[in-house]
Amino acid sequence: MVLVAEIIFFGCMRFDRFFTTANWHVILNNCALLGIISGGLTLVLIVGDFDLSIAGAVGLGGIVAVEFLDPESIPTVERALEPGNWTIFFAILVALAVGAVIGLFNGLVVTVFRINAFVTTLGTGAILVGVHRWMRDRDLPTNNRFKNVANSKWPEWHFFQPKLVLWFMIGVLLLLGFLVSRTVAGRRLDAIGGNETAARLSGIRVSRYRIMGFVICAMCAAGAGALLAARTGVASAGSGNSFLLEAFTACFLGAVTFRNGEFNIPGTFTGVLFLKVTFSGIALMGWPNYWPSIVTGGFLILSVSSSGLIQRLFED
Amino acid sequence: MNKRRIMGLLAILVAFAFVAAACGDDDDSGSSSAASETSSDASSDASSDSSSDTESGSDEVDLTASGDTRLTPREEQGYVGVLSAEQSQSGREVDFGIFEGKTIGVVRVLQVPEATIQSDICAPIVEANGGTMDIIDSNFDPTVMVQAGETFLGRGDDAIWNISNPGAVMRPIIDEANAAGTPFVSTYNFDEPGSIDIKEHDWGHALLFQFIGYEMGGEGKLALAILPGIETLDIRTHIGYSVLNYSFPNIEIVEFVGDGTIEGFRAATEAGLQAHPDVTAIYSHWDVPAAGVLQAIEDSGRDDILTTSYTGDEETGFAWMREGKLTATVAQANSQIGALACEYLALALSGVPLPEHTLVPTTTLLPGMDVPESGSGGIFNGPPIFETSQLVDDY
Repeated sequence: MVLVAEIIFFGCMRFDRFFTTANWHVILNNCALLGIISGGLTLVLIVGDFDLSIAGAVGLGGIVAVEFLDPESIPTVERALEPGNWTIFFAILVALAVGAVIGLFNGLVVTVFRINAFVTTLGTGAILVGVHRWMRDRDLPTNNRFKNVANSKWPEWHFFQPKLVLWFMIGVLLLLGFLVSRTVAGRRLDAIGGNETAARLSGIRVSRYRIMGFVICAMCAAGAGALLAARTGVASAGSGNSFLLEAFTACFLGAVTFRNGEFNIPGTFTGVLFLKVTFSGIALMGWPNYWPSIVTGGFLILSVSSSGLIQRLFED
Repeated sequence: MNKRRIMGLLAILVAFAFVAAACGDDDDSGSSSAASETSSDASSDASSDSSSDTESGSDEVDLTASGDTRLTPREEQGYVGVLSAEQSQSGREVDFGIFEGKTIGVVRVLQVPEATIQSDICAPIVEANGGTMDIIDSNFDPTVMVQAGETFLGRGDDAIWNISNPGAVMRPIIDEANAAGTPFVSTYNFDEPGSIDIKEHDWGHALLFQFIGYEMGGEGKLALAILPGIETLDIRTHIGYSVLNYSFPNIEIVEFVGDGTIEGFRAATEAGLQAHPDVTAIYSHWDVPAAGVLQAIEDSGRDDILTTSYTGDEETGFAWMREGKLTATVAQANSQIGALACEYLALALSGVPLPEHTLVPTTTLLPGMDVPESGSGGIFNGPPIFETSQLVDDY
């Protein structure tokens, strides 16, 4: 409802600019990376955990992917995977693998050592920032073929000309949505988030699913990092920082959208869309540059409080 | 008798002078370097040489680039021992051997070319002469800036070098360093008293904005892709507004504000172009905004937008100039500033008094001008540097 109201508001205020194909092309393409990151984060939030290391995973994913694009970095494998496109495929796979390792580390520390997820992922995030700087002392440029992975328009004949990165987001969100809502694993994730003790007593291996959540979340972040490097043409330390607050805001906004305060994938996408429409609307209105931050922070507070309120209402 | 003796003595002196002059000419025309002959009063020698040449009508001495005796920053990189006044950036004889056993603490703003090019020139010089250079990046975080400075001073570092962190934030460290007698050299710290400050002369921006104004025909809409709140960047914005409001009052200025990342500036430019489709020129604060702006323009399919920027990096800004993506830019002399800072560190450690403020000119690269090739080290050793004891705000 809020999203619709927002679209109507900005549409009425700047009808000539807001409802143009070009503007919605910009809005939706800008949703892509945030959508992938937020989708992964939703899984962690569903089981009641937190992941503050996503910004670090985004940055490291990009750096690793671009590092492995360099044929000299992987002399034997690169030759084996000719032609060159396989190098790109390999680079993204390596980024995903690094994400999986980060997620596994987070999950094991949280479940085995029983350290709070907030503290663990905060620490992991800090470690990852250090690793970025250790690996790269400056921005690392990508090559044009890698840039095409994110920036190519497909199908080109379509008037909207969506970018490949948008299709990546759609694919990831469909997969995650299917996992959460249509599989046994998804229902178990929900059960753990609802009542961990009950879930454990009913025979669900809670630790395994919590680790799975962390792994998928970090893989999404690292994969988005690789796409971000492809999109911007460089991999740089700290490139994921701006996604952290936005991803959490999108997830919490999504929680109050569809399922009575529970985190869910369609809701998360709605949250992402809401943020990007807000950003676009503020720019079109010519409002000062501090408004996007104020609005993002304000909606985070509003959505968290609404989420809690709605949950309490339904429990009562 | 006396007259004859005097005449004889004069004749001998004249003959000696002719021989000396002839020998001097031979030395000048030879290939051997005169660097080792320089002394601390080389500047006075140089001035007397030039005046005698001028008197004799010689046109061999000129102040163009071909007559520039300074080493390029890349040549200076890793230099060991004494660098002559003629070869140095500072015009002073510099003994880099003073670095032996010394530790230099560097508080660097970010791992961006503007800063890393500077430290990359100096670190090899310090290390080649037996010293150590430790670098902490503040990442724009004021707390880290101050903590890094305190750490270096606390462990007794011999000198501090602040690269591009705001001088106002570093104020407590400057005071502490002054109290301890530790040299505090700073690049782009903007006129904080008590530091040996080196910065670029921003006149290049005035020229760039004049160029933009003329290219726009004195009317239309210009966008500034900017990151406000950082002094080095705010000055660029300020110059833009000043020049355009004064000389081209019919040009409307809008701001595309980004978050310091390429993606952020790309998104800001995309949104900005939707809000202001009549923008016909965009100026970018530095290479990162420029990268985002160029991507957004490419995505939009627009080819009618004049793009300008500010750069010191041959792999980004200069490359875009060569590719024709960027129409004009202000080129920083980062490598020269890095070499100069290194000399000042050595001179300060040697107890040589130094100017409070040194300005290094920028170069405005306009269409048709030569752009530095990749691997060339960028632009450096342009017009002479300018030293002053006044605050730059004072004049």
